This record gives sequence, structure tokens and C-alpha cells, in this order.
Amino acid sequence: MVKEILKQFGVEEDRLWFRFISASEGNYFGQTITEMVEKLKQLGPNPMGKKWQT
Amino acid sequence: MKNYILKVENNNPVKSLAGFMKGLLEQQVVDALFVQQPVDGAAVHTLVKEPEAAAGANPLVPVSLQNAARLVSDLTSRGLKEKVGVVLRSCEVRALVELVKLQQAKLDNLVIIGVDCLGTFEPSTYRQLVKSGQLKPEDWAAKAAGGETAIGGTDVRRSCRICDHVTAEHAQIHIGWVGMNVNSELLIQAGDELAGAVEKIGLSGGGDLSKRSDLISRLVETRAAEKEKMIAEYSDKLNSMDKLMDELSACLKCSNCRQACPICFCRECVFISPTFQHDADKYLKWAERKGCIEMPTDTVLFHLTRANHMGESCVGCGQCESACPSGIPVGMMFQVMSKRIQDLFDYVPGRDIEEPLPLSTYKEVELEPR
Repeated sequence: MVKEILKQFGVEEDRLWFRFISASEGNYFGQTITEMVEKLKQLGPNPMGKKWQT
Repeated sequence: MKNYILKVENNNPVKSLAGFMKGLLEQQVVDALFVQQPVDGAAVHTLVKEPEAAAGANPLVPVSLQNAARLVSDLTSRGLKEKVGVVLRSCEVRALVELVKLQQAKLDNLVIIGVDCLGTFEPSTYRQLVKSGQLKPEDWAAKAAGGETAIGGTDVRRSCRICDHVTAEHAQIHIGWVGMNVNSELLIQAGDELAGAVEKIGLSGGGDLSKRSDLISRLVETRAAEKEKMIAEYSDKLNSMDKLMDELSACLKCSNCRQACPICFCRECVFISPTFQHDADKYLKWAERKGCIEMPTDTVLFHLTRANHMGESCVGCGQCESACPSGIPVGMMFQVMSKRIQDLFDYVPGRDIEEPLPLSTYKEVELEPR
């Protein structure tokens, strides 16, 4: 739902991640975060960060 | 629903309707009535107990200072012990259905009296039209029954012009005037359980309603097409964060839109909570990082958050837009965002009281893969 709204305003879908990770899945959690960080680095900083009218 | 005709006397449909309202109280179809009454240059919602006090009622008045679903929530959320008839327009009934699902209103002891609506004027416009003598509240039905709502180039609110609901849904009693020869007759429809009681209030059997149904389907069709067109146009126009920020740059974060919204029911909004009360250091740090920040801050976040909170239930009443002191087309903006959310879940707010709210229903597998 949030993605649908962000899509309207041209924000890349990959900036927002939803994953279900159980408390017992430590490895999967680590792995997901690493993947997410890599993806975000690739996308670069959010252009919104520089805007003064938030 | 059974159809009845209410004969109009002295070319005054409003007076005849007020008589019908009085009858509802006298015959104890309801113990109290919630209905609009015109005052000088506006119209207020009133709760009527005394039959004589229904004399000033005008359920057809083309102005609505707020979406009355909010008031019905106040009236019913703690339980209603007497039978109350609430006169509502389509957008108000649909918002009420959503509030019931959100557990902010109850339908027990409530008799929904729906009324045809072709739109309401902005309150300031309405005041002007009345004060200048261009619009007499009692003449509105005769003027607009053919589907024409503009008065001397001034039309009803934008949200109303693209609203494809003329009759009110889920009503136990319904008042019809669109497409009727209102100076001689009005249509009263009643559900089977109330028909017996309503019959006693001087109604005669239903006449030929083909002219009315033709006009309503034509109006609904044109307005639905116009709505689709306007949403598509605005959606194309507002297609980037930059454009959204520009559109919202005049936002004062006054929360009028939230206050006017029938769906936004939180007693304490997160935006007035300490989460958004920052120390001076924080503002200065932001200003340092960006060179300059707009005050008040978080306006874009405010509207995006609101869209996420009430988007699935937005009925498009446009009261947010009417309440905006900066004239930002927030109603249009919310319709664009809500449409995406509602389409995603194939959910139509106000359609069915039994239809569960998508976000409060757990489904093991949902929205995947996308």
C-alpha cells in the first residue's frame, strides 16, 4: 500500500522493503539486511534528503 | 423498497418534506430526527425531539458544513437507546459505514434516511448566493431537479461535480427529488419493515419513475466519466516527489483536512504527539544539512501518512479540500492516492457493511507475488 502511494510520486519501489522474518531466523535476518544495504547503496542517497520543502 | 409519492402543496417541496419529517416523529417511526435546518447564510445539523421543531427542517439544502457521519459517530459510538432517524447524503452514509467498520459508530437504533444529492456549494459560496438573493434554500429542489446545479456560473464543490452517487445507499427510508416534478410530488421509498409505519403519514402509491431513473443513470454516467478523467489528469500532473512538494508547499499543517475528514477518527493524531515536537537543535541541524528548511516541517510526511491511514476508506466527500485555508486541492490528491489503495484490494468504501476492511483482515497469502 505504501509502495502504491510512493509509486505515484516516482519513488523507486526498492527503497522500501517488506520481509517476514521470525525471531529464530538470525541468519536470514542478517542476510536480508546485507542485501538491502547493497541495494540501497546501488540506488544512492534519496534525492529527497537534499530538498528543503519536506 | 416500496415506492410512495408525497404530494407537494403550494409549490413548496421543502415545507411538505418538513411535514413528512414531523409525521415521522408524530407516528413514532423514530423518537428523534437528525436533519439539517437552514440558518442565515448556512445550514446546521440539528437533533429534533419535538415534532413541531421539525418545521424548519430542510433535508435538501445544498450546503454541508461537514460530513455528518462524524456527528452520527458522536451520537452513536457510546450506544443509542432511542430510535433516531438520521438524514444523510450518499457520501455521509458511505463514511458512516466505514466508521461502523472502524468501530467508531453503531447502527443499533439508527434509521438511515437517505436523500438525493447533486452536490453542495462551498459554505462561503453558499452564503454569498443566499445573501445576494440568487439562491433561496426552499427553491433549490425545483431549480436542480433537472440535473443542472450551477447558479449564475457558480457550481457546487469540485468533489460533488465528479461524485457518481446521487441516491444514498443503505437507507431504510429514502427521499427522492432528482428527476421529479418537485412542485407537485416527491418520492419516498421505505424498506419493508418501515413501510407500514411510513404509509400512515399521508403518502400515496408510487407513480411513473422512468424519467427519474433515466436522469439519474445519465448523471451517474457523466459524473463517473468526469471523475475518471480528472483523477487521471491529476495523477499525471502529480507524478513526482518534486511536484508533490510544490503542491503542498502552501500547507500550514493546520490539520483542518484531518479535522474535516470523516474517517480520521484518532483522538490524538501522531502529528500533534511529542513525536513531532522537536528541539530547536534538531531544526537547526536540518537547516544546516540542507542549507534551508521550510517551516512548518513534515508537511509532505503529514499528508502521506494520512493517505496511508485513511486511504482505504476515503469516500471522496472532499470536505478536506473545502477546509483547506491555502486552497490546496487535497481532496483531489487524496482521491488519486486512495484510488490506488482501493484498487489494490478491490475495495470500495461504503459499498457493503459486511465487507471487511482490507487492513484489519488477516490473510496468510496476500498481494503476492507482485
